[in-house]
Amino acid sequence: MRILRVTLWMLLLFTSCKKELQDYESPDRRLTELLNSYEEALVNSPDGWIGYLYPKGGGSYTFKFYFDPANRVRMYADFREDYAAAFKESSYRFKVEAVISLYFDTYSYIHELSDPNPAVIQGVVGQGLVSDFEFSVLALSGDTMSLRGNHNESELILVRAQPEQGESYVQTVYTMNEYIRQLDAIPWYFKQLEFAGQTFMLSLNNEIKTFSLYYTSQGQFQSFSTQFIVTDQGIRLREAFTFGGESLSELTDFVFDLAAQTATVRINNSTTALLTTVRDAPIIDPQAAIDFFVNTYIYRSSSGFTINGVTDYYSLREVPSFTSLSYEPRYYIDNYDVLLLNFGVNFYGGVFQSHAGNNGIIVFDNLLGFTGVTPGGVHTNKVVNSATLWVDPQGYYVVKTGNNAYDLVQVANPNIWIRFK
Amino acid sequence: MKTRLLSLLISAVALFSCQKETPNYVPIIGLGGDEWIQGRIDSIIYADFVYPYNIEVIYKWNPFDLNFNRTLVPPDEARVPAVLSAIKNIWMLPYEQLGGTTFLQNFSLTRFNLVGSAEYQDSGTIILGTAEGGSKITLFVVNQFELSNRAAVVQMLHTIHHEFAHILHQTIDYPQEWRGLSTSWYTATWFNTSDQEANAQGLITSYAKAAEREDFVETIAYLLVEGQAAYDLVVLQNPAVAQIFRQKENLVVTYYQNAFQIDFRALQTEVRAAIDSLVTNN
Repeated sequence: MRILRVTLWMLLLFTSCKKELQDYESPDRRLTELLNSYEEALVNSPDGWIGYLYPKGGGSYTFKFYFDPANRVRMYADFREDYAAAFKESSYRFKVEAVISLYFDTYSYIHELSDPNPAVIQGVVGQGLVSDFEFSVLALSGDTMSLRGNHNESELILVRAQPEQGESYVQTVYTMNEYIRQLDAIPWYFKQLEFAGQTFMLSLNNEIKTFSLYYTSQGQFQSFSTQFIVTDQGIRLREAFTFGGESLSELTDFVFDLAAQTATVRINNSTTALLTTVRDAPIIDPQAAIDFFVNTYIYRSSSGFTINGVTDYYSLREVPSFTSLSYEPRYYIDNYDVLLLNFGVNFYGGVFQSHAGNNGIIVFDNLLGFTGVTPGGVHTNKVVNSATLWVDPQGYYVVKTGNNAYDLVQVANPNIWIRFK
Repeated sequence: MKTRLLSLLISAVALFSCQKETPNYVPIIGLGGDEWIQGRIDSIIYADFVYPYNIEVIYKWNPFDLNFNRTLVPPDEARVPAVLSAIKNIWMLPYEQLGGTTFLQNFSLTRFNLVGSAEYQDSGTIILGTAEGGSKITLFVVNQFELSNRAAVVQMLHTIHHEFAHILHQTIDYPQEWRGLSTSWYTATWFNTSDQEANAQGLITSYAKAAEREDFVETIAYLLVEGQAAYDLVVLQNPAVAQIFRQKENLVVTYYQNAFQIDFRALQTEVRAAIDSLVTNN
């Protein structure tokens, strides 16, 4: 009987306590759901996705991607005319790491920006343009997916394309990009814009895709600089500029009047503003010339001087194996600097002195002569002509357009300028 | 009665006390490797490498197998079939012909990693190939590979034969006599020596100066891929060290004979013939 009692107690003991599984979802289940939602989103977009890539190394690039369920992706890119016109097919896959990542896992246009071989895209040896092709998916909300590069932390934004943004979208972007370059064809360098009751000077650096505004507030020089991407309508700023309660994030419908030296542009798809040019007394950062000069950097121009709206006026790009026209401050220990034409493994250029003022103007003088291997024939004259312009006695206004990027504009003739990066 | 009741109760406890629920089981994502829809290249790899030899060829980007602090890019799909064909014809078939059909199965090379670009080093040198753990070979500059370009074929196959020779000597070490032949020339800064200078010192390439084992496998790769004629020319141009070159050559031939029962001379002929036929037919 005792055994029976004990057994009954034990029975009670074992059955009385009912355990319930905690309401718990396994991480793998949640990851799988997230992964499926990403895959479905990318694949289920009949018009593909527009990609805006901001490499860590600077610049911005517009892509168009079509993802299919068989891990294949077709892409267009805006950095070469033929890449904008014809797609390349390669593969992609999602990989679950600490964060779900999107890999463009075989070579295509986007990889060229990361190619360490300098012959591919003239990037830094071993680094390319410091970009990415495997990205962590940070968020998918509505029609936008934000991603960050796993290797260099470049930013990629994917936006679901609309039916009117079809296969030829990137071609339209490419054409728009070429069209916007006409801003540089306006002879006088300094462009002015009225916005929110304030006068701004504006620069648009198409080589590194930066948009900068310069203005004076309470007697102090102020500036704003951000990157932009090119759309089929115009440009969109990476970071909006707000001033006096108004915001500026998009510039569209550029119309140029080269003869009148003006342009009109629509701001944020609403008001139309007039871009005018000024000849004298531009808004200049008094510190810029000194910053430009003391920075330990080799400044490179891909086209030499722009004169009267003609980019590469001296046709430096026609020099065989031309790579850049470079200015290196404090090149020689005894106060002399150089402006070198670089072609192949050779260089040729003038030797002179630089004087950076605290009024934002840099003056080059004492042209000693030339150093290096002459490119020969008409090409040698191009270097001599460039050096002659360079040592203009009134000097150059220094305009900062980005990180280590400066435009130098002749004080005497603001229709003569040169862009360095 | 008591016993029966007891056993009944015990079975009741055993059967009902513990209620198990099947958990909602979701497998770990990526367990067992990445998956994707198989394409044409995947089927070539399966038929020529995975199925017969259990050799994996990774051509899709896989950063965890590569040097993470270098900028590298994946291969262009258009270049991959040519690389696969070169590996098969210039490396695998000659060894199989002379070492027997099971030779490649015996030496546990398990993986090729293909990379589009070279790996650029801070010293200014570039890496064209690496081998790890006697089983994995990474091949770079796939995106510049063309079968019709003899220099590219020679460069890549030199790398493969170089790395495979590492796998061989990691299995059966090279002869003792090799030690001391060029020991005084080995240096970490081998890249400061040109090939010509290295030749004058009795080393077949500048990279052969990197270490004793590199010297050994460079000699093998050079004899196989660049070929006997090229090797003889180097010997002829450097009479002062001709004897060292010949001694190394003989050591390689005896090593292959004793360790693997492979006729190295015949292997040389096969490799040359394969290169010639691939380059001229493409």
